[in-house]
This record gives sequence, C-alpha cells and structure tokens, in this order.
Amino acid sequence: MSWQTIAKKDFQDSVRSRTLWGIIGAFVLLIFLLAYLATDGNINSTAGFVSVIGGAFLFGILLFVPLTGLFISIKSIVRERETGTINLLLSLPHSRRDMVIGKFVGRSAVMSISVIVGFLPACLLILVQAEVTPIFELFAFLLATVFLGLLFVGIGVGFSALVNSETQATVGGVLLFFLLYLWPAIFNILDIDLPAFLDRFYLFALFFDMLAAIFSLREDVPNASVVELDGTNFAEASATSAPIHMQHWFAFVILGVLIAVPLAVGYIRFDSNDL
Amino acid sequence: MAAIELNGLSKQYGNLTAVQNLDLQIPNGEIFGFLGPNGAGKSTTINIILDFVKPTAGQASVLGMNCQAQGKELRQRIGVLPEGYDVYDRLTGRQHLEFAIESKSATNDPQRLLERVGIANAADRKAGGYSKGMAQRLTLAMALVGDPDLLILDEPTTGLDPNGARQIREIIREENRNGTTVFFSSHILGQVEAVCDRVGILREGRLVADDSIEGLRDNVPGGESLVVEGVGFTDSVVASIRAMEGVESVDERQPGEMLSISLNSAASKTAVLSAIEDTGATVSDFSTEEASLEDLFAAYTTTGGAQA
Repeated sequence: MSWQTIAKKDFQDSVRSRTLWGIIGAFVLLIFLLAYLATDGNINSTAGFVSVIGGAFLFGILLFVPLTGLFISIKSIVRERETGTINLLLSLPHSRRDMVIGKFVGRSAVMSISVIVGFLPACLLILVQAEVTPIFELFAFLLATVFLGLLFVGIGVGFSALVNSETQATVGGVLLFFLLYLWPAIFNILDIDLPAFLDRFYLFALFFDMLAAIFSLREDVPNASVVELDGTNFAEASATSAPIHMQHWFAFVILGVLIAVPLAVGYIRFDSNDL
Repeated sequence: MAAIELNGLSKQYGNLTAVQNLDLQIPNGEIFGFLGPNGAGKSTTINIILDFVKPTAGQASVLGMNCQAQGKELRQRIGVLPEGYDVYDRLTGRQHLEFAIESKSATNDPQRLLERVGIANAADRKAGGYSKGMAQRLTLAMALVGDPDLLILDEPTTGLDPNGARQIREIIREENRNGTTVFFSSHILGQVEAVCDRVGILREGRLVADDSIEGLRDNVPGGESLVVEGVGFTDSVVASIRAMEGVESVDERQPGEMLSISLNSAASKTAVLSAIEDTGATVSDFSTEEASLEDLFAAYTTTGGAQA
C-alpha cells in the first residue's frame, strides 16, 4: 500500500528532527515539575487522583499537545513543495492522496510518541507517589491526549496541503493555534449563544468527553457530554439519557469530522494545483 | 504504442506560454535528447508528463497511459530524475533507495544500485550531507529501481564533473541496451550528441526541430564551412566572395591569408573555389569544416543568429 510506504518514510524522517526533540525535552521537564508539585500531598483515592492528574497535566494538554501537533504537521507537505523533495516522492508511483494520507498517518505516529514520551516521566512519578495504582486512569488520560493530538495533526496536515508557502503555513499555524482555543470566547464577546451541540466542538469539551468515554469502559460514567453536565465532575452528574449526538462517545465522531474535513479540503486544493 | 506521446500539448501560466501546441512521439527503445535553452519549456513538458503540472490544452500519454488519469499506474513503470528536486536531509542514501524500492514493490538490492552510480561508500550517511553531484547520483539510482521501461531524466548531468557526466551516459547506454527507452533533457548539446538516437529542440515552448543529429546538420543553412588558405585575399576579393551564390558569410581568420566561408547546402565548393581564383587571389590549400554542434544549436534556438 502506497500511503503506508509514505507514512513509514515520513516517520523515519520527521522523528529525527532535533527541534521536535527539543520541544519534547522542554515539556518533559515542565510536565514532570507540575506533576511533582501536584502530587506533593498524598493521593489516597482514585477520585482525588483524577483531579491531581487533571491539574498536573492540564498545562501539558493545553500547550504541549497543540504546539507539538501543529509543529510537526503544519509544514509537512508545503515544505516538501518548497524544497523539492516532493518531486522525488511523486515521481514514484504515489498519488497526491496517498501523500496526504501517508503524511497524516506518519505524523500521527510521531505525535503519539511525543505524547507518550512527554507525559511518561510524570506518569511514573505519580504512580510512585500515589497510594492507589490508577494505571487505567493514567492510560485513559494518555489515550485521550493522543487523540487530541491527532486533531492538531489532521488540521495541520490539511492546512499544509492547502497553502502555497512555508511562510503562509507558519502564520496559519499560529492563527490556528489561537483560533482553536479562542473561538468560543469570540462568540461569547459577540454575545452569540451557540447551541449546546456546537459547544462540544470546543477542545476542552472534546478532550473531557473522550476521556469520559474511555473511563466508561471500566467505570460508571453518565453517558452525556460535559457540556450537558454541570462542570466536569462526572461522579456527581445524574445519568439522564442524552440523545445520541449529546452522548460522550460521540466526541470521537466529532474528532473524526474535525480531522477528515481539513484533510479533505487541503487534499482537493493540493490535487488540483500545479506543484 | 509509443513510449511517450504528446498531442497538442500547451501550458499557459497567466500571460506566459511555457509550452505551445507540442506534438511529439518517442518510439520504444529510443534514446531521445530533449534540447533547448533554459526556460524553453523542457521541464514544464516533463512536469506535465509526471502530472506535477496540469496542461492547459492537449494530451500527454506514456506507455499508452494518460498522464493525468493514470499517473500512479504509469509511474510504476518509469524511472525519473526530476528537475528542482531535493533529497531528504535526514534520511540516508540507503533509506532513500529502500523507500523507492518499497514504493515500486521492486526487489532491487540498494547496495548494488548505489555501487552502480558510484556512491556505495556514502550509503549510510544522511543525504543532507551529500554534494550536489552525489545527490544527483542517488536520485539516478532511485530512478533505476524496478527496471523501468522508460527513463525520464531532466538535466541529468547538472552538478556533475565531466567524469560523472560520462558515467551517467554509460548508464543510459546500458539501460537502453536492456530495452529501456530514455528521454532526457539538457541545455548542453554536447551532453546529448554522444548518446542520442534522436534530438528534439524546444524553443520558446515550440518544437523547432525533431531529427537525428545528422538530419539536423543537413537542415541547417550554413551547415558547412570552406576554409581556404593562400595569398591575395584583399578586401575587394573578400567582398566579391561574399556576393557569390551559395555563400552565407565570410570570416577572415587571418586577414589576407585565411578565410572561413560559410556555405549553404545549395552551394558548390568547386564553383566557389574557381570563382576565388578568378578574382586573382591564389588558393594554396583548402579544407571543409562541419558546423559545430554548438553552432547548430544556436541556429535553432536563436532568432536571426542572435545569441540565446
């Protein structure tokens, strides 16, 4: 399969980026430090653990994941166009669609490794400090974080296929970073009330819904999006039967759409343009 | 079925016409040299064949497959050294070849290919540290993966020293002996004359010649020069030679003693020689020179003899 070959090559290439490992290294230290501060008391229940881990990791999830995700993806295609490596790639029997898919898969693998490396030392510290051994909860956090990372990779690769220069990609990446966080605030300032379903597209809601969905595999979590609940306290929320599009697992459908649409839009333009 | 077939191919960039109504057929098994000065549209034509660029009008097909609709399928059967490429800085030479081999589901040995292009000792170094010539050799090795039926090489000798250029020509000949059609472009005629069966010359997006090298010589006016040595070639004698039928131009190599007379194909050398004697000058020796290939190229690629 063509895209698999590209994904493999792309992974080999991009995982060797020194800048990437610099970013990961800096975040390993920061997340570890925050985890150390957060666990500086005893953790003796799983519920307490979840709030500690949430507090410790929030910074990493807020900054590390989008920054890394956009960094590794936003130039993934346009850089090949500017340097000319794309001429080697597309001289081989690959279509441009293979390239977009291969890039997304390859960079997703890099993203997953970055998240695991970035958070693992802090996770180990928490396990050592905690009296309970919340392996499953840690795993759920990591998995939801990886999924959030894929969102940025998908948007970044799609954007990279769309633009014509690395400069456009850089500017676009910075704008996207802020826009993805600030769009609810913008609607707020404009005093526009969004339907609850659209609130689900907000990154925090998306993250906590995915987390809830993963938790629900092992624990009793109400099957509803956090936007339907009062805050993020799953335990206290009442289990009303939410409609399908408001159930927590539906976050994965939203994630899929948020990844697929930018990739598709980028691909369509990339495919119809001259290199 | 032709290896390459272009029908009425045109490419317009805004107001600029890069390729204009190009018709070309390259039969299987041929070595075709695609010549033209920089900016004549050679790379645009190749980029259309590779589907890097969409044509404004016309059709391009390779091995019977449409370049736009069946690009992936046809690239399975060709090897390409594209223009304006760059290697992956962080991947080694060997990884580049492994990528090409896997992409084509081929079974080549990367080491063997690297030996063939002469960079086996750099196989495990990152290609970012390669010189331009080494990168060119690596890309050629990638083009040879999977025993392609057609090799498309865009300016394959750029960045290479004369020795490297000669090695590339040898590889082209070897591949051709094994039945591979070779299509390669160059802006230097000397690079193609040694290997090509046929030459096409592109100028301002139009094909101005499509012939063998011998055929090109025959078609160019001033294809031959008569060099005469002797005494008494005064200005008035030179002027009268210039006025003779069949004489295109006269160049005084050594004033009064040696002249180089460009003749068109209709001219008779003996008639010119006896006419010179009739002017009172004495011819002690004469020889003929074929126009150099560079002259030929210049004749096809410039307007009114101006430098390209």
